Amino acid sequence: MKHYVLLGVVVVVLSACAKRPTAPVQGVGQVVTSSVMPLTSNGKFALGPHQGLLNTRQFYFRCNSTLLPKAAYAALDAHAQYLKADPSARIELQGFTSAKGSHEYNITVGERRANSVKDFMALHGARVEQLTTVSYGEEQAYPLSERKDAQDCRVDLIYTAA
Amino acid sequence: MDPVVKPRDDLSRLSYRDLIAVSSEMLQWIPWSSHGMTWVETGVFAWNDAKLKEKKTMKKHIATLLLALTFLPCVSSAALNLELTRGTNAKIPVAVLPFAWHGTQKQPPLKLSDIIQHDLYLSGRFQLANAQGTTAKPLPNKVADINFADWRKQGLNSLVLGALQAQGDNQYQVRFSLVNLFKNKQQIAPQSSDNAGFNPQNNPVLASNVFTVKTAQLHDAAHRIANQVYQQLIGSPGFFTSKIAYVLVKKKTGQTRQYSLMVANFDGSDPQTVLSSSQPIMSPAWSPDRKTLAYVSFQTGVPAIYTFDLIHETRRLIASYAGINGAPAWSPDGKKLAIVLSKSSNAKIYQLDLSNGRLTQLTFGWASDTKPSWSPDGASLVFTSNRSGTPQIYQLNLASKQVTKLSLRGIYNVDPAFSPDGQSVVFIHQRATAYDVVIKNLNTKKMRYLTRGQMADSPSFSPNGGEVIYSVLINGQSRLALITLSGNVQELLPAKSGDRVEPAWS
Repeated sequence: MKHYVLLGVVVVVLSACAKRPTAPVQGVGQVVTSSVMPLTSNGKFALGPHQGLLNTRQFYFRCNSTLLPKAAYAALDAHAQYLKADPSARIELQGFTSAKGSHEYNITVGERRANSVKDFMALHGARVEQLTTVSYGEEQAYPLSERKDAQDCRVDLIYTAA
Repeated sequence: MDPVVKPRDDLSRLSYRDLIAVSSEMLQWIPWSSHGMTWVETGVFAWNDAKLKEKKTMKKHIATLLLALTFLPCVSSAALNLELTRGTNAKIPVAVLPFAWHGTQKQPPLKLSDIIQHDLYLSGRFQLANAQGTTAKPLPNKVADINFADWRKQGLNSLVLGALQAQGDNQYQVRFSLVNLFKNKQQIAPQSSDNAGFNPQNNPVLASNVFTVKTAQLHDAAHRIANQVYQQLIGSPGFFTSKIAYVLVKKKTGQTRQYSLMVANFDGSDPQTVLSSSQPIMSPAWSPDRKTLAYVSFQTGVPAIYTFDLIHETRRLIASYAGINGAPAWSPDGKKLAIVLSKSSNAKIYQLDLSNGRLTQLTFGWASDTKPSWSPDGASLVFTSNRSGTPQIYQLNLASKQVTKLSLRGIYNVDPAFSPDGQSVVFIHQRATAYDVVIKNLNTKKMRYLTRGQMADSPSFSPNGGEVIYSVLINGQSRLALITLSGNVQELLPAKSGDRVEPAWS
């Protein structure tokens, strides 16, 4: 599976070469994934840039997959450019899963999701030391009875310094 | 009064095959001291009355217990009782008579016989008769009052009877006897010093004792009596004083939660909070001496592995590398922890030597490996890995480094745990939308369902290997459940609000 992620990433990197911006993106404000919610400037997403694509901080995966969805590419590229332009900026990538399945195995699923975002951003110009990951697995997931699984299969991007 | 029971090795008059296997060595009587309790399993007892007790008052514990007891099955029918009938093992027919109560209060502080009866029931090894339905009235509470023939007619083979006497100052005297109804009543050991002609092998009293306990120890005393009964009739140690650890997750306002590391009796009674956090707590694991818990805490925002000494209430940081620090598992000798770290790649299993801190990587490759569980001989580990593309169960031979795939069916097999005898492994197997507990015999290679169509998680064996505890989703709530390996008894543990997950049985 990881090979596919890398393959996907390489394809994106190549296709992105010609039009890669050199400064933090002043985004056009399009919604990157269908389930992205507008973020207020409070809570764990408060720190960091919020213009346009940079306001996208949650990246949703298919629940049986750790493969980075294409819908996340544009915003993650924007964040990578921001990190490249501001070497002091730091982000933490938090991996989450739905409550389905094993607590222990889901920790590894959340980590693979966070790592697929990390790998993408590293390939897009962020320095590895700017990126940390943590997996919460299903520990903060909605109860299965609420049928909000899709909202739990995600990676949150948190600026810890900006 | 000294115990009147002597070691015995003649059970030939009992026709149950479970009884025939009893060896005299297993039945070695261990006298309890007259003033207190000289328990066999010192490790458990040692911290039971240690400082672990929370600030909560004892009254509250009793109240909780009584509340819990009101929901306990009366053996034949109860709301929480999921008794199945596919068990094939012959059960030993026993009745536990209500203990006589001598005190100023109208009711005893605790119905000891209910707890003993419930313990025996949960083991799946006994057919418990409803004492109320018998003809013998009033119920005997002394061996001398028992009409052996009458009780035998009920199809019973043994009786447990006893008495509870208030002595003031929150102190009680407890006495009990386990009587073999197939022996001759006239052969009861003489109380006088004149032992002439007494043959202990013919003594119908298989076990008996008198001891004094405080209110807070009453319900522990009931579990210990159940242990004695189990030991005498089954021939291996009872597990009714064993403890479980688990994580209690309570939803607070909005999406914030409170995570608590809990320790309780195996039947879920007397839950104690070891520690609480607004950040996730995971993966409790008992040290082999049952004095220490290893666990994972996210309290600093990232996961770290700690151990918590339940006797001295001291915490020790074990691992806090970048990435995952998870799924600790004690080696059988208690000297090492198998842990999961992702510091250099994906999740990998490492061995940490607790004496010198030396870390050795045990699994390799690009895949995620997690949830190690040691074989009882310490020679191998089972674990979950997605090296074949989906999570499956593997066994690592620590000497040869050879890895063998154990799960052969399905696309989702997780959370393996070795049985105490090393012969089998339980794990969670997904089929369609269900996640069930299955057991795989490592000799016959056969896999068998313990549960059917449940949403099960995190199975863990009882100390004697006869039962499995796991968490299960019931009406949107994660509950703890027990199931015997024969599948003949299955029960949900009492639970109020909150989710109970990742149980570990000491």
